Amino acid sequence: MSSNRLLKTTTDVRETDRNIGLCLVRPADVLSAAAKSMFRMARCFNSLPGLRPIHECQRSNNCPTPMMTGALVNEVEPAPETVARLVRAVLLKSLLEILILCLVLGIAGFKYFNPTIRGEIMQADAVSVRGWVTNPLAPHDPIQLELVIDGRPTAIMTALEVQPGHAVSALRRGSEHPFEFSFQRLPAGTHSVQVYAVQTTPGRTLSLVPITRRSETFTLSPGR
Amino acid sequence: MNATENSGSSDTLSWQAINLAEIISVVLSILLVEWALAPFAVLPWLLGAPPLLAFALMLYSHRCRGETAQMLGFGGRYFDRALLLLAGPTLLAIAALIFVSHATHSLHLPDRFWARLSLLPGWALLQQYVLLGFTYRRLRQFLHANQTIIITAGLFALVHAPNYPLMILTFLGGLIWSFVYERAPNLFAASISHVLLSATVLIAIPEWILPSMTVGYRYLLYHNF
Repeated sequence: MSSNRLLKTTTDVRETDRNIGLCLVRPADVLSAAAKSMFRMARCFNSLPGLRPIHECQRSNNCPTPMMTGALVNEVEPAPETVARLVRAVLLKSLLEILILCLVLGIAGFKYFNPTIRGEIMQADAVSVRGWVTNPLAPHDPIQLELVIDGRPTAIMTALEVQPGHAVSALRRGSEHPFEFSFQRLPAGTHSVQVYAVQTTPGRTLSLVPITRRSETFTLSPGR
Repeated sequence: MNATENSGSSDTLSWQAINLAEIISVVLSILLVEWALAPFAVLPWLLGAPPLLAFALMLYSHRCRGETAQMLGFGGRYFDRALLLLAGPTLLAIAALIFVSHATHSLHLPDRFWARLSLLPGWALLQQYVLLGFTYRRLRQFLHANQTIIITAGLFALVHAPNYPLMILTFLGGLIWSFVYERAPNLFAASISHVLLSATVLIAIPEWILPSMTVGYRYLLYHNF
């Protein structure tokens, strides 16, 4: 081996190593080798008399059993009308599937991420949050709620349709569910409060839908 | 002369395109259910709509092309030959699976095994029909036999994604069934092989290798990572 070849720069050595590494692990090469060996194996199988493909048997008139009426490969080109009919069928099927997909997504959107849930945070202070929530799609079902203060989940509760003490207001508002969260006193400063309706989706996932467009913000002074 | 040649080549092209479009359409219907509709199982009967549409398309396609049930492989023709060709690989695979289960002490009866076994023949025949009676036949119109075998097996594995142990098994199964279908087009023989192999896989493969037979979104949802 010449001294010039031994005196490679570090960069050259790294480059060579990288090349060798790439050659060893390139998935395309592995796949191509696997495909080639499979084709070779298939060719070997094809040469065995009992394993010859059906169309080759037909051509050589040397079949183990009588031929069926049609081979796997159609030798005759179909009429343009047949092609047109099939194109129409594929297009119609695709269109119907798109409609089904839209229908399923639409139903799922309303069922699992119900956009009709409405509510209001009527009062928010240092120790409690009060308000009401309604679900027009299921007016009499209880609604599970989660309170989030300053972006952190703080409490959960289930808002029943009519609570004792709220009978008059509940009657006035129809199917509204009053709710009230109580918690430990918040520190002084500005806080944002949002209440989410918790909805179950298929599997183990829960979705949270805010009951108001914007979160409620309030400030607590140190003196209070 | 040139115009006639051009017209002939465009007809061939459109025929190849429609073969390909049919396959893509059927495969997409399966993937649509597995990946797009399964996460939003609002109405379970709606999940069956795309496969039913695919089934209708396949039947219509056979009718347009003048393909009979016998031609597809539903008759008794080639049954003996197909069974003979399938016996070797099927028994070998069963022996290998039993050996693995014996070595890993994983021979077990899974939940609802007998109920699943009773549904398996129909399910296997349906899968073999879509795989061989439709997909293989359509691909074979414009591809060489070896290419068709590999692509059919690949598509069969694809619809079992992302359950990779099942994808490997279905790819191997797809290779064997397509290889035999090319030589002896019979769906009943392929279904018998399918039932025997599926039943063995159910009882022999350890759960840490194949935790479930679910595919698509549901596999990811209930799979313990």
